[in-house]
Amino acid sequence: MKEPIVVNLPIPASGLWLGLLAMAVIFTVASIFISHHWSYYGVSNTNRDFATALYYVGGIALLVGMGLSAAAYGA
Amino acid sequence: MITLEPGEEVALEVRRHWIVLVLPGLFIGVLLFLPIFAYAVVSNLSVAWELPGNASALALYLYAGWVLFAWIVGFVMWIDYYLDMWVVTDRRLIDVDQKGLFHREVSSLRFEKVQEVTAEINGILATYLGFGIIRVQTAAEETEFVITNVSEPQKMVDAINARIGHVARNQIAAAAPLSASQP
Repeated sequence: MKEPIVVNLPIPASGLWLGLLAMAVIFTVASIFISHHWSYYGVSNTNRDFATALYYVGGIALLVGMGLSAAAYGA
Repeated sequence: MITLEPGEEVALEVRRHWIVLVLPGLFIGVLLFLPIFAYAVVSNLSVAWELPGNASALALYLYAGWVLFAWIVGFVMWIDYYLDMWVVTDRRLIDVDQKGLFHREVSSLRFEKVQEVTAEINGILATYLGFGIIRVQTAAEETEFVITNVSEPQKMVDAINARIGHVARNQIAAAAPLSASQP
């Protein structure tokens, strides 16, 4: 029988938290640019409200998902 | 933000047809599917992973991060689509060309300079979905506004023609007292 290839990935839980922090920073910076474009360049109010809610709910849910996964990884 | 002249009124705002979002949508779909495909391939290999933590949690973590990346890219693409538009006012046609987040070109063409406006709907898809090309020819032969993949092109052409007619009537009315006063 063929021996499985052993892949050792010594990823510490702290690395995942650092990754989450990096993604949170990227998300925040992107949010600043995106919000600026929506409000400054004339996205209509109805579309802006819907897009803003969708963007933040989706983005924050994904960040929370990453956080829960990082916690589960380290537990 | 488009700066209008005092008293200028917006008659119509037109964007590209939603069909132009299909390719970016497919790109985002591929982005989302790629890790699932990679996971399926890796699962079939005889690989034993040695991790200090839960492997499923790590996979979920990486996928959530990847989806967040695609989420941001998707919204940037939507901004590119939404802010790329043409505005017909009662005096001119304004072309706003949004190229990504940090490149924006705004040009305008006054109706006095417009000679001809044509709408072109070419092909089965364009006919049934209602999108096409608009060509705006100015007095200077080399200057031509070409607007591609515009939604409901005939509606926009009608709006532009109505404004051109209005501007021309105003010019004639303004010139008439002058010519009458001359001997």
